[in-house]
Amino acid sequence: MDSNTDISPELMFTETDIGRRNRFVENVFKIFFFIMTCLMILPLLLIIGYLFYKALPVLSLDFLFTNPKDNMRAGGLWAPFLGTIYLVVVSLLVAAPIGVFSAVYLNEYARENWFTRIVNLAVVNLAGVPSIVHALFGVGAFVLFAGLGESILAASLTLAIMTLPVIIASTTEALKAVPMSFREACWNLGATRWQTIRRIVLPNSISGILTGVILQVSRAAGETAPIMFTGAVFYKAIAEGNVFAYNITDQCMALSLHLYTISTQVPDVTEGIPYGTAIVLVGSVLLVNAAAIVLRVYLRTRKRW
Amino acid sequence: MKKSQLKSLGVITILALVLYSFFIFSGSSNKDAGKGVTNGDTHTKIKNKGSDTMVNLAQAWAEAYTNISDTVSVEVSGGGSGTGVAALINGTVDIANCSRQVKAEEKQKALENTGKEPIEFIVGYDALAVYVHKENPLSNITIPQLAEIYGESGTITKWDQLGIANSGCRSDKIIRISRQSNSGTYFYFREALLGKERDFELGSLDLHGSKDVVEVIGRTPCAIGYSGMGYATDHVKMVKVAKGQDEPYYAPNLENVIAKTYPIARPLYMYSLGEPTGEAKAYLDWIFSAEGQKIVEELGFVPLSSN
Amino acid sequence: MNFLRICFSFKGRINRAAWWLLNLPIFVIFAVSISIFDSHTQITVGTIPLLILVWIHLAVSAKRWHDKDTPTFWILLHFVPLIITIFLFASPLFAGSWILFPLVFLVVLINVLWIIYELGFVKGTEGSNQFGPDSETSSESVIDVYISLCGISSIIFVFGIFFFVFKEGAGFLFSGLNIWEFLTSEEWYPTSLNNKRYGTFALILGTFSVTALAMLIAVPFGLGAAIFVSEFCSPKLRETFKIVIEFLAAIPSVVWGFIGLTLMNQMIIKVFNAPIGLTMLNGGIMLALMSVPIIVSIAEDALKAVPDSYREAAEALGATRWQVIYRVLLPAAKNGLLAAVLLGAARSIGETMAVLMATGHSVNIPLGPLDWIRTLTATIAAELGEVARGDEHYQVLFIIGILLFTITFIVNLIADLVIKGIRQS
Repeated sequence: MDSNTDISPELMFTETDIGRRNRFVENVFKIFFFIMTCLMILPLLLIIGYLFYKALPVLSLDFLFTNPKDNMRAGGLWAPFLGTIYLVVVSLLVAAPIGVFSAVYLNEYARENWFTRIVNLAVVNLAGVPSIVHALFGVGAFVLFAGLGESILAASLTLAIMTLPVIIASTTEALKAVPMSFREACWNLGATRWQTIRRIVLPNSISGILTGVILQVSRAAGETAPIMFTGAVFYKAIAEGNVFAYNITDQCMALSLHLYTISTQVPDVTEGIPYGTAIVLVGSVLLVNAAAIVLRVYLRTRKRW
Repeated sequence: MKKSQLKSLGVITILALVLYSFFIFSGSSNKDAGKGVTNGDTHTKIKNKGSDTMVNLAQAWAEAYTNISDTVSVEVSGGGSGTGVAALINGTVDIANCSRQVKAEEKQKALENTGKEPIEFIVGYDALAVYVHKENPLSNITIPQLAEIYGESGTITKWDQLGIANSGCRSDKIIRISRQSNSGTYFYFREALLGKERDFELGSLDLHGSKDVVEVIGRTPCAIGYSGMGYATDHVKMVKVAKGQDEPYYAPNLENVIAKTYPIARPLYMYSLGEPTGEAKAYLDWIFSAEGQKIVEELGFVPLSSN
Repeated sequence: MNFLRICFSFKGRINRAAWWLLNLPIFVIFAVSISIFDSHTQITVGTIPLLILVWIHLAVSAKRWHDKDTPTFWILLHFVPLIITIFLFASPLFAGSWILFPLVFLVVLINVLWIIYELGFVKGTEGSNQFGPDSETSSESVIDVYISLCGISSIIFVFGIFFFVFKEGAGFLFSGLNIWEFLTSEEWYPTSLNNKRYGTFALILGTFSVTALAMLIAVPFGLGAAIFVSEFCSPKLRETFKIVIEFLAAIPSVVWGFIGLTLMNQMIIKVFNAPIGLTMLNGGIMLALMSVPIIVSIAEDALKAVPDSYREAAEALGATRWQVIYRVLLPAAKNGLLAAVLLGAARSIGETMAVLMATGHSVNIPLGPLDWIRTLTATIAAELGEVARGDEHYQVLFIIGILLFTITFIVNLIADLVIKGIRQS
């Protein structure tokens, strides 16, 4: 049989029917999945666009730097905005060292054994505990047992524990990305474990760690349920422009809770204000996230291996 | 001096500043938190906590009071009447807001715990209005009818049972809007309707805020709900209420509440631990003044007297 | 030198780093406790740990003085501020004379700063002295202990969460609460005056039905997007999509709730001609949008974890891209995809603010997606604020917390086992 020779070279490289059909089917699926992906992204754009459109009349720098007034029907966001910053900063101060060291332990100290698996499982579960259960924990442990009362401190500690897994996860990933050979080289020079970590591992994974820290900030800024009963307050007048207006044993206002209260409890709010609050909240969270992404991309280009 | 020594000196200076500022910070906060209200200090804090119904009012007072006194700031938080009473018992507030009366046993507890008895002040009245959608033809309703709508195994579930044709509502089913089951408003409305024996039927939308109730009704022709009369908007209508079948109907307004003819109105209380002194007394006095009472009216509550 | 000896013994030497490492947390704890304990009446509970901290501070400082070849009794210097302060406030001599206050404060400040300088910044003697050998590496074991403590902190926190939530609810759980009724009765009357009933069946059903609806929407889209991103996308486009998905994940839940309350509410009224837009469907859509990013990222990881050789082998046999996905990738990655769905569901179950605002919050057995419901999480969020501490109702809310914790714990555990299963095979 020399049927091979019957096919002319042109025919050999043109598409058969079955090939054409296959390509068609593939394109159909490709477009189908593409549409599915877009349908997921569309809401994000729509929602931000809608919020922004509705918020436009109230948005200005003043909106950010004046207190809510007229019984929260008008005015700006200074007190809740500063409150959110306090909550985030204090929770970061607690969560960042614990989270980073926790990842260092998991990645550099612990061996693969049952105990490490339990620790890992605990991290996964900590991330999965519902936010309202964290709130209950915050009430039971910090507000009542530790006697902190409802305060910025109690709320921040609750947030810190809640956001810990975010830092642990991205730090672990960053530490894993540092090649083993770096550590071995260092050990061979007689460095101790901690010296290796401090001089080699941490400097080389700082980008991933920072990303985790930034993501923690974005997560902590948006949470409502855990702070509702542990330290956030309906209204509190503070001095405008004074960044030290809160004390960590005080209660504070917070952007997320403020959005909730003005959209469900305060009557006759100026039309744009809830939308403005939402856009400030979403905007700051997304800005922080964007910073994390930029940092990640930038540091990836500077990687030395 | 060596460079390293200079460096450590710098570190020490910074540390000193940090420690010093912390000392001052915590020092000042101690005084405030410990005694609540202090005299002679440049910045005094009055802690005010309690009823969610009153939180708007309390906050408006607090805000207006910043214009009266530069040195006093009032810290307002909601959480409900129960929270306010609990704080009173623990001695962690200066003034507690309450949309119900503090019970005798709670007063006793506060006395045992803090050595001071809660002193009661009525600062205004709140009328609960019954709201429907603005296109709903319903204009009058009686308490027994409301009881049959909201009460457990109640008999009224359709709008035509109230004798009206609610054309905006196709299913004709009454959608009951209520509040979460431990809010002071819920308690009061339930007692006003059903007394102490009967419960509300489940399946109502238990919204979390007085404003939420009105907004939802404004979008829902089938709905009926209750909320403070100050929360009215253009999209809803307040229904006149009568005590019983043959009694006259009264609209929820200032005159009727002050004349005590409107059946679903309650006093709003503030409690201080012991006879109020100093800044707290000044604050309460101001609340009773014409200026303070004007704010009560502005917020849709009913002031102590009509003038 | 082991950690316990560093903390509690008054013998031996340590270096500056170790002194700082142990004392900084002590300083912070003290500073915070001073500002808190003064204001309330918790001193009895807090004093024992504080005394231990004082001991540690003294022991560590004594060893630091040794390091500088100074005898132990120098730690008496640490009591000077305390003595002066007591004198200032107790002695009638000082009472009322506030002119003295700044002066005394200055003396205390100088004393404290000098101690900090001497112990925290001045190096110890070179080589060994009368108290022991050189101390250059003594800080390592302190660091090691700190790192290990942080490492197991997650376990401590998970147990802590369970313990404290359990502690608040335990009283009523073991005496009085009818657990069978709690789980199967639909009558939720926590504030009834004459007949309190704590049945959460409607709430459990609400949680699961809205989660199921959310998964019904989120799973096809999430998996579809994961397939597109991992199999059809150019690397650049993939990066873009991943960033967008990250953004989607970052939107706070209260904002989703707000959208549900305003935009989605009106849309559902218009589109479905429903009497009210705050329904299970509304909550389900919000939850779907919130859990889709988790599903996409985990499913994509699972697809990527399938070795390229599988794809190459299938393509070499003449399979089209779709056939590769359908016949090879999906079966190979099915555990990972299952885990993705489970974790997405766990997120939905635990979500609070969005469902509180968007589902109507009504104790109701739902018969269709346009019925309103109430979830376990939303019940806690709505009612905890106004409940008196220690009350039965308060304890029941914590028992609901235990229930939620258990549910999500089990779901997460299964997801974890499923993922671990892939890694081992």
